[in-house]
Amino acid sequence: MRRVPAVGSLALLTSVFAAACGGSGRPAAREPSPVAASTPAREVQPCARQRPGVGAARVDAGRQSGSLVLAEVSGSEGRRLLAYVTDLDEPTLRTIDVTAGREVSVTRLRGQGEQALVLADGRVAVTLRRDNLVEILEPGARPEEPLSSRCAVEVPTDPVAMATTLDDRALLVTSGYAHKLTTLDSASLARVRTKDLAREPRAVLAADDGRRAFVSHVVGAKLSVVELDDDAVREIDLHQRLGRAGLNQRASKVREGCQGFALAMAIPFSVGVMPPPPVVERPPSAPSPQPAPPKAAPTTPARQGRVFAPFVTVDPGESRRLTSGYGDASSPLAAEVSSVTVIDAAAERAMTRAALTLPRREVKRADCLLPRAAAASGASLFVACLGIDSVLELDARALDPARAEVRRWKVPAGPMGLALDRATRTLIIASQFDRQVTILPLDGPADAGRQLSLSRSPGSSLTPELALGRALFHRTGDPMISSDGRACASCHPDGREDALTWSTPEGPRQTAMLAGRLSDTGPFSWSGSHPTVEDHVAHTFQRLGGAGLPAAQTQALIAYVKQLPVPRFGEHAGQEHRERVARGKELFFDRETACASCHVGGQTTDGARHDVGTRTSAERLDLETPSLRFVGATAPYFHDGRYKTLLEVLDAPDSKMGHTTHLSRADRLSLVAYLETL
Amino acid sequence: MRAGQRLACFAVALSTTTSGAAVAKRALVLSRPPHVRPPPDAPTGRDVSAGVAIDVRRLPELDPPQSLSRAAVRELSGTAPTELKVETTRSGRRETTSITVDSPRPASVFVGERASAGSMFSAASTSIFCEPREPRAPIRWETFAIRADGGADWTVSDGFVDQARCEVKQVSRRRFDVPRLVGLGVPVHAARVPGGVLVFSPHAEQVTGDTTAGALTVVRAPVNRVFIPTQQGESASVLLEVSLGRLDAWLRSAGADALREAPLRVTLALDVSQAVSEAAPTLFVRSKMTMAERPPTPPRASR
Repeated sequence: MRRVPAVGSLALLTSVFAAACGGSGRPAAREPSPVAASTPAREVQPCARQRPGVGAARVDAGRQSGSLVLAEVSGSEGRRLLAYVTDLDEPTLRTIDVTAGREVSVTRLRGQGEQALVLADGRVAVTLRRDNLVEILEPGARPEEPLSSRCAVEVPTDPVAMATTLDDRALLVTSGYAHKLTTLDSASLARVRTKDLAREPRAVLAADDGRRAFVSHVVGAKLSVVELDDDAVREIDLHQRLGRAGLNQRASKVREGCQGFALAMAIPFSVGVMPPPPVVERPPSAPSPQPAPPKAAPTTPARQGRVFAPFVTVDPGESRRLTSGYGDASSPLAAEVSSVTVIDAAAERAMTRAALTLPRREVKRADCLLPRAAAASGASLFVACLGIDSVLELDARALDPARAEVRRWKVPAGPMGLALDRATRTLIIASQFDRQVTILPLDGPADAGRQLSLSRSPGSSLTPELALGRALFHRTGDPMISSDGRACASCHPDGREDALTWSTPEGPRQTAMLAGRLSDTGPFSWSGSHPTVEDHVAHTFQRLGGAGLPAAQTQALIAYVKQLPVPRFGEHAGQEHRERVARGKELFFDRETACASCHVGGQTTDGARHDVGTRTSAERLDLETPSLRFVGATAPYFHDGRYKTLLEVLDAPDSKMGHTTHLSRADRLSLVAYLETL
Repeated sequence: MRAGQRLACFAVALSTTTSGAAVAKRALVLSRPPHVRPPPDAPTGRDVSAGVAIDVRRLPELDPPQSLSRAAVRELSGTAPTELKVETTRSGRRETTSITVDSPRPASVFVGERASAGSMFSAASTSIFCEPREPRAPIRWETFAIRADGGADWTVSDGFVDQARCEVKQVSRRRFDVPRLVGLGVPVHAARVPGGVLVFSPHAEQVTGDTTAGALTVVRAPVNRVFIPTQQGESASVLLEVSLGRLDAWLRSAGADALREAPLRVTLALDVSQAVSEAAPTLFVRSKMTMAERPPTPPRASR
């Protein structure tokens, strides 16, 4: 691990400068090599607090990060509630005085902040997603003072979310593209452990037992359970079966899942504050029922609670069926349906197993198809939803709280951050697209919310066209885009892909990554039938049943997609890895292997169609050469998702798409290592 | 009979007579086929939702009797049932006994061994051929009456049909007090029973459900009830669509107040869950009533 001490580090400035100037960000290797966590003598705990006890402190047990997190200052004038808000458009962290309802300071960060977390001693950790850093800030004596940067530590590519453990000793960081969970010592920020996870981990929360962490995944319908003291990682299956009109049927139809961006946790209902008093009417003469003693004591008292995983269940259709669009329109449920899976934290098992439906297909334009943040309190689960720009209060006691909506609030565009102040029962929401913060007293009237705008620094890079494109990309329930509520971001979360293979009129087709792959990669679609992006966008909307966007909006959408942020690989791979990558590169450009005969140029595509031996009775034969950029983290592979890993692609006895069967296993691994750097 | 045995017996009584698959098939036949969808102009409206969660331990425990078996009714004697209207009619050479529960309350009647079991539909009347050589068949009839205090009286009577003599005899009658879950818009009553929870609701048109352990059973009848098994670490969900065509009549006959406004659709969601760390299961019932959109109030003319 490389620790970047206080501002002024030449290395950091160099990297930031390079990034700002359009540096390639494409190093020879993807991951930093583990560097000894020992601290040089002259750097005495550079990340530690300089003035302990000064300034704002953490609220309650807020141990999860978000794009909005709470802090508080207690003084002679009483309690001041603060919110730290990361900024989607600027490398700043905003301090909001929630009590006063105004922005009080702006802290310049070393990069674009993704999520923030207040540590136990009041320091604030911020993930700088594009810079692969976690920056540590220290609050000043007054909230009006910008926070001071203490240090920044390097973590695996694409850091997103954080959490602290129950004892506050460890800071957990998820890295989306690198699919890692990094454990840092929360005092020194020294790296303790890095674990490999399934694709696209996002939200993380530490379990009450202090020994485990739960990690959501944007794709794959799974939740990882990470043992913090050893190397064990388990996965909880979140796939839901479709329960049709009948009882006790083991429905064969399994729905996939996507959009696992958020997690929340509640303590057990029966021992905590969750249930209201029983609402049972009894005749006055009847004796009150005596509660029976518990049938069994909790098996592991330290392991308790329910974890809520808002996501979307997806039916991409039968791969062998040709359909008129993306997915099967004859399915009894829409292609994407919002859900909140409830997980038994002790048993590590999903309690929500079935997507129950009565025999009718409903299009719910107000469905939360892009959940981005969640918080649980008492019997309520609050979920912030992009697309419909709303915050939902769901009944947390339901097995699928998405089916038990209590109320909803419309908020400004882009709600990505959500925090609940339990002391005042106030919900604070950060709407990143509209740069607004909403302060919502839960016990007040529906219109009691206040809104305040985040200031904009001079020279902000976001143009009105890009802002429009971003809003369109995330807009669900828009009949111009789709007939069933899907948005661009439904299949392309964060501009990437959903890891699903959809049934289409041409056969099964895997969703392609958009970020970094749209410029100079035409023609478009797997069959290469659309010469321009505009053609492809129009065609996609048509297949989704959408009416299509006006030309200006289409241009704005394309402009936004073309500048979607891409992961920047770390610089510090070990010597062995570098040698392997170098060998892989040789093989890639080797004439016999012939990878580079089709995957040419910076975007690694020749823009031509080839028959690569994928013929099935239901498919066309020729496929457009796809770009290999970021191919290392876009599994599964091939147009029909037939290969789970890159190694499987190279192991396949296929002589039409390059020649790799003659390679040794070591060479194939080297080739994989090189592909992962593209 | 020990409590454990009674639990098992009742579970059997409520489970299917053959297998889970048979139950599923029957449910499918009885429900509207999945591919039938409302027309494009199906009514839309505003939803009124409510939810109630209960620690299952707080519900009273009932111990309904096991259905009579064919073997048992062979030896039993009984009395003429006062609650049944039994008529014998002749058609050609055959005589038919028509049995109707003579009650203004929602009532169901089942004939046969373990007759109250499973996912099945039964009305308040049935008929059976008189057959001299047929042995006696068990019969069970039930009524459901909502009292003024909101609770309900569920009565379960057992007896037998003597097909040789074309007559029905009553052997036993039990009454159970079932509390109402308040605040759901439509009357929903629930009680704890051995092995699970029994939920009573207005007559359901369609039912779907899933459980991680045990078997859900539903009796889709005027006395509409769902048995949901409870087990530590397990969960179950049931979704019911209340039969709107019969809702008003059902409410009136059950003794409940009529709804102030006729809904376009009433859906009930029943969840029972217990995480392994939780001391008791939670029953969560949610109702969603879709009401017709009110026409916009015309603006008042300015003076």
